[in-house]
Amino acid sequence: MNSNIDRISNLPSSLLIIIASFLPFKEAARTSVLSKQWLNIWRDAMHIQFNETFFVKSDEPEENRKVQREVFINFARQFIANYSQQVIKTLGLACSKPGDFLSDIQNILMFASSRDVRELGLDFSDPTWREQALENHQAAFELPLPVYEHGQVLRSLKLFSCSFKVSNFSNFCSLKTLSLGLD
Amino acid sequence: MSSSTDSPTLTTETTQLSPQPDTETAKPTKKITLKSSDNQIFEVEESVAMEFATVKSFFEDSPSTDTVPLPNVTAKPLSQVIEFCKEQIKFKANPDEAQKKKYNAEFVTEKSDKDLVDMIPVANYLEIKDLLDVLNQAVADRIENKSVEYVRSFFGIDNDFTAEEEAALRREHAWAYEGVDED
Repeated sequence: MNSNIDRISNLPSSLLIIIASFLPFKEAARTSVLSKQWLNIWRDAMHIQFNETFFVKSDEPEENRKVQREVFINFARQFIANYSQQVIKTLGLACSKPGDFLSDIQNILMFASSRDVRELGLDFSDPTWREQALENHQAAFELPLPVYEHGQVLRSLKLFSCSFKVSNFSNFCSLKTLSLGLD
Repeated sequence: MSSSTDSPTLTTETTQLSPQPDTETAKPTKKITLKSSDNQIFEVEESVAMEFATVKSFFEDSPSTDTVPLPNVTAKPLSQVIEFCKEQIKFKANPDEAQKKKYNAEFVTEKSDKDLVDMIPVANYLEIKDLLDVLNQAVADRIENKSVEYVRSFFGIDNDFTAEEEAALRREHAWAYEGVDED
């Protein structure tokens, strides 16, 4: 019975990557257990979300969250090291302690720029700010140069708690959406 | 000329000089015959057939052919793909983005899961980019937040992992399995 319902297994991996690229990142990751042919498809999906909240549990003590954050960054590090597509559609990065991982975040943004990312979302806000009721805080991260240099292909840019130099936004000729926020 | 199947390089030039194609294009609607892998014949207008990049290049290579064999395509998905392309031709003549969006949404809504999945390789093989996007988005919407088991049966995928292998994979990416809907 199973052999004649297996409709999609004879598709080339390049097409499965396109299908997986229409899925949210978490969902793309779950396709790895569908079958052996799907095992590594998601590692080349073109919507990438590195979201700390997938890994870090907000209700746990900070010492646990610190370990979970290390696991998260390590995951992102390995993901970009193994990625083989030339172009990515979306890259989202949410990290509440960018200061602890400056070089990794730089590398992730270099990676996104080198793959001509179309939509970039960066969120460096920290949920604990709200608990402490701080009204003013410094933006946690400064947008690095490679992002400006590859700005001409960006269609959408979302920055939360990320500072930038307005004068560097000179060549963002494809940009249609820009969102900025503090937290 | 009779050996044209072996050496197509020169025939293109000769047929262009012969009067035959002119008399044919003089007819208001030239029909092209497509033959599915299960030997069903589809007569479609030339403008519709030219929406299929694969068919178009087939004709550019051998313009004197009257039937295009499609060895990778069965009749049912082919008839649905033709139906979609007929409508797209109308929108090309009278652009109406809102109507087109509405049509595309209705086109996928009324299809079964199997029909959608079966059309993907056809749209890919015939290189109909718009349809491939519409299908992939519809598939992504239908499997959103669904369990691995649900997605397997949606695509008709045989699970070729052992229970141990699958459990290990799920442990490795435990973060991806949170927040999944009940079947």
